[in-house]
Amino acid sequence: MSAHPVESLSALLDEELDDAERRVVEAHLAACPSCARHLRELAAVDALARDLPPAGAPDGYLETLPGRVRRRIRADRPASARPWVWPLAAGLALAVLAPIVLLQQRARYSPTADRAAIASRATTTRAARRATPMSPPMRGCAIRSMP
Amino acid sequence: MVQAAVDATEADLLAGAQGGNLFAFDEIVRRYQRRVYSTALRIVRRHDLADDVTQEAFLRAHRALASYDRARPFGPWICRIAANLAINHVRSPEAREEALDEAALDRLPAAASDGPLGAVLEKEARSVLEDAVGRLPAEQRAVFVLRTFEDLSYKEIAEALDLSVGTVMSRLSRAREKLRGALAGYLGPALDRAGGASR
Repeated sequence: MSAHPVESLSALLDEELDDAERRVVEAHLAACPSCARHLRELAAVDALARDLPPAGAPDGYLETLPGRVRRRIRADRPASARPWVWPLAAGLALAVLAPIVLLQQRARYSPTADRAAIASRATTTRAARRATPMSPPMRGCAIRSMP
Repeated sequence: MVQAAVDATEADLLAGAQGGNLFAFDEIVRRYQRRVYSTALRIVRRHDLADDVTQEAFLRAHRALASYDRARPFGPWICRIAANLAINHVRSPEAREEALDEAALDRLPAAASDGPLGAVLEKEARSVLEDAVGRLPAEQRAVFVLRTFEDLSYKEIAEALDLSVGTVMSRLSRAREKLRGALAGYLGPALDRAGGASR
């Protein structure tokens, strides 16, 4: 008698052996009561397993699952699939940036700012003149141009 | 629109979902969620992981809808996605396997009692079998779950889990041998009785 074809018994049960293999295993089974019983036991395990009910979910879980999947699908969609995303982003950016730019402009051109800027420039010019006396060529030039 | 989705055939729902109708996909989720969750839970053995796997499986199915061939049955396809994700979960280094909690076992509804085992022994045998399936190595368990509960062929399992058909065959055989060993105390007397009754 050939060696016990244990691995093939499982495949025989599933009808996954090709014809030649199946004939060899069936011939062995006809002569080997031990393997024949082994096959019946595997079939019984299989029948019992197939009869097991689906694994249970906690109460309420399945009622909420479609909603959670839907939210994940929406979050997962690329921006191109949501045409409202870019206009919304542009609108938000405008709403945030416009007041900032406007405030900066107003601060730059307000009368107070103008007076402060003029005073600052005048102070700087006077200080520069005191620090740098008129150069000799300039003085000569001024004399020659007098009538 | 929601009621229309509930009444629609699966082909209509899939066509609608492929066209971007989320109500149609919602209904597909409702129809398959128990099966997908069950497949995931049988492999990962923990509700929180099974929940992750179930959501991710539907998300991936939705992403792949554009290329999905509606001539193929949706159930085995989504279950294969779930099984793949589940086995990756179990294989990941951070995943710590825990036995299916008692609460989950308590939630299992009663099974029919006209199987090959006597009605009295069957309830106990079911519990032993559930426990034994849970203790199978993850790779063997995934193959066993896809074969036994999803009725996939060896070729389909091999494709789903990226294995050779030979590996599927040997893993399934080893898984069944372990389950047979775990149920030895129940199978022997039952088969003897069956043999005696048939003589």
